[in-house]
Amino acid sequence: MKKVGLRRELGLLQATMIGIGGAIEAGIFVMLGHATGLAGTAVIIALLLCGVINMFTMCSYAELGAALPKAGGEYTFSKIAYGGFVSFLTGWFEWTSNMFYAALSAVGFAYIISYIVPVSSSAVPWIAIVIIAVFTVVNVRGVKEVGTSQVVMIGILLAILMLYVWSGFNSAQMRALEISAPTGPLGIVQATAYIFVVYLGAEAIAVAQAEVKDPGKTIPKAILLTGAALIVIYLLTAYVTLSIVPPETLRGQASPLIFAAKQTMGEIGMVILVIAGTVAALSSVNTAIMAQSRVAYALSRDGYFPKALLRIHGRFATPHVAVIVGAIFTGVLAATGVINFVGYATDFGFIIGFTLVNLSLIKLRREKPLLERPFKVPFYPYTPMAGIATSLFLLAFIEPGVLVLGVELILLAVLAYYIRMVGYHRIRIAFGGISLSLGGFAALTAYLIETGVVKLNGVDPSTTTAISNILLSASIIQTLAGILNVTAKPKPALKPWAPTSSKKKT
Amino acid sequence: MDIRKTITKAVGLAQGVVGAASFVFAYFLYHNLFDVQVVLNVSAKDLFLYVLLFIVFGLLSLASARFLIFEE
Repeated sequence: MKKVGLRRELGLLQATMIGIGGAIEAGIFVMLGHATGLAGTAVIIALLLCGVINMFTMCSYAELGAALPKAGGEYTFSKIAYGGFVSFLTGWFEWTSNMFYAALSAVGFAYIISYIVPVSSSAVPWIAIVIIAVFTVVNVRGVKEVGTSQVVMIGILLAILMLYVWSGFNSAQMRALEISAPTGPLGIVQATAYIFVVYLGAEAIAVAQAEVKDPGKTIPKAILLTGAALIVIYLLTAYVTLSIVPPETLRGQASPLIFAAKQTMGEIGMVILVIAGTVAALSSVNTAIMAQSRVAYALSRDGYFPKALLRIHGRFATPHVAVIVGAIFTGVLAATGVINFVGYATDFGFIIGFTLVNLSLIKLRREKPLLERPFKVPFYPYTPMAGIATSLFLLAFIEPGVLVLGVELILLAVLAYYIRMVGYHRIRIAFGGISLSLGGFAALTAYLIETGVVKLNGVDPSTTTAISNILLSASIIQTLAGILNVTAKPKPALKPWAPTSSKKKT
Repeated sequence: MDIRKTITKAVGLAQGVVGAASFVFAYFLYHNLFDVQVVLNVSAKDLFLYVLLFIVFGLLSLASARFLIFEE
């Protein structure tokens, strides 16, 4: 039977668009206002600083991605460098962060579109779920389709942003920009920590590296191009926005870019920028769904996640089960609305991932000096060390509530890791015990209802008896299930392999 | 297929149905369909606790059923 695996179908353009699309989300459309409130017009310096900080770690991604082009991105790097729980934790954060990111972007899409189409608050989760479903289909269809859709979406987005910049430079309202930070260097630092999230997500290229053509050359080029392109895009956008709208007006705006576009291009400008915002959100959903599935695939490949996630679609050559399972979780996150809170965990997870990638690079340089590296980080070890220092610095500025959430995610990871490590048979026995308890609980409830200790309001005695009997039946089923799980035999251990003699008996 | 496997799968299916029914009942309780909250004397204060209880019951039943249906 022909072995089905992931196909290398992404070229430089598609890989770069996956990186840019992963990073540019609705954030830049809404965050510039508050960042300007923190740093004044010096928010441009903050954006440049963010770009440089991002580049430190992007260099590490480029080196490791080119040297180890297997599915899973930072999870794969940390697995080879550290293995065990550290690598699982990296994969766990990468997987959960991408699901949160997809859910956030899908909800963000619904909110942005409400600028031009009336959307009730109750319709927001449903729109988000529809968007997730659409991009799940795209992701199941093939990585080439993901790459092509990214090229189209980012092409539209970049064209609109270029139009925005061009119209800004040609606007009568354009004035000379004076860089000033009213609150001093601390304001710039705070704005840097706040707005850094707009650079997160570009590492999606590394996650899909198993599907990139000529990985030794394409991956470093795509990652570094993405990092550089993001700096140029953000600086130009911020420069034009700040040159048109005074900082004191900008800081109160829910969406500064849309407000500035309205000043230069009128109502049509607002509509165009809303389209850009929705396209940015859609491309993030697309990239994040792809990224989470590749991480789940890699975790499954190494036995941490169920084997079912390792299935590759015979026709489309995509890990379709991993795509669908992750999309279901993402849909639930988007539907419940809790993402407003857990969304912050996305940043925490990505920043932890940055630190671990830089640490993996240093460890692999020491322990595997002979590993073929088509691209090498310049100024080693200062660049990855700067990446670690700046990531930790960003964590220090994160809200305390987010840190608590991060710790909770780590505890959940510990639980998942040890449940997996305990082994199938022991978990089955544990669930057998739980079923026996549930059976006992159902039997007790049935007894209390039947004897009248627990009274049901307005229910006649015959119905009470029927309810009690249903509970008793449930109790019997739970007890039987418990007994069957507890008494299940463990899988027989494999017999040690012994060579067979090729000599014929005489 | 031996008889133990058949029984195991049947019990697993039944447990799965019990688990799914628990979810449906949690939904009924939350939305007070058929006046379930009144019948069970569930106050608004305790509603979430009861809903959580049924969801946990359902989840554990489904997880256990999974072991029985897809026995390795």
